[in-house]
Amino acid sequence: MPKAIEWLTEEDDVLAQAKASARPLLVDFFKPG
Amino acid sequence: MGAVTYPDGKVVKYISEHFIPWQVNFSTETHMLRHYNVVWTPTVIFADSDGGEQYRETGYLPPHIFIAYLAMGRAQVAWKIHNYSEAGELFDALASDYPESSLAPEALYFRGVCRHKATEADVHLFEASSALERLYPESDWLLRSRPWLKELGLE
Repeated sequence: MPKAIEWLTEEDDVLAQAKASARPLLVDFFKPG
Repeated sequence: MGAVTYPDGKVVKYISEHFIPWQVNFSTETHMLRHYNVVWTPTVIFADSDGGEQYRETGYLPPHIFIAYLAMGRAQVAWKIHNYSEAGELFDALASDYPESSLAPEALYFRGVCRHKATEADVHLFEASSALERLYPESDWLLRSRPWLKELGLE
């Protein structure tokens, strides 16, 4: 198990992984700083 | 969220096991703000594997409360994409694992809905309403379930 969440940031990567795993997406909108 | 909630071990485990985690910069990714109509941070959107929004949570939550929202988001996605059997199990687990959560009555309500949709058996609606009356008599979700009893001729 990873020690931290392995966030994706590119839409293409997200949709490719989602299609491969059939897992739902968790989309976190954050403000840096 | 980034300082306290996301580093929490249970949150890391739950998200890693059950979601594809996607982080979007609110300050720069304006097309994403428009697409999901996000106007405040933190906002967490639970979406199906095509990116379609099915549930959202807005505002900071500490880890022990956020975990229940993760379970709710997962169950809501399953229910909205018509995976009724899976959704019923997920709502049941949420209600059982987090009975003190403000989300537990909602989970019991949708457990009944999903089991009913999966089997077409009315008994699941009756069971859900009975559980709400027994466990959460002050909940709005009990009021939402009351018309079921009338339709079933039980009130």
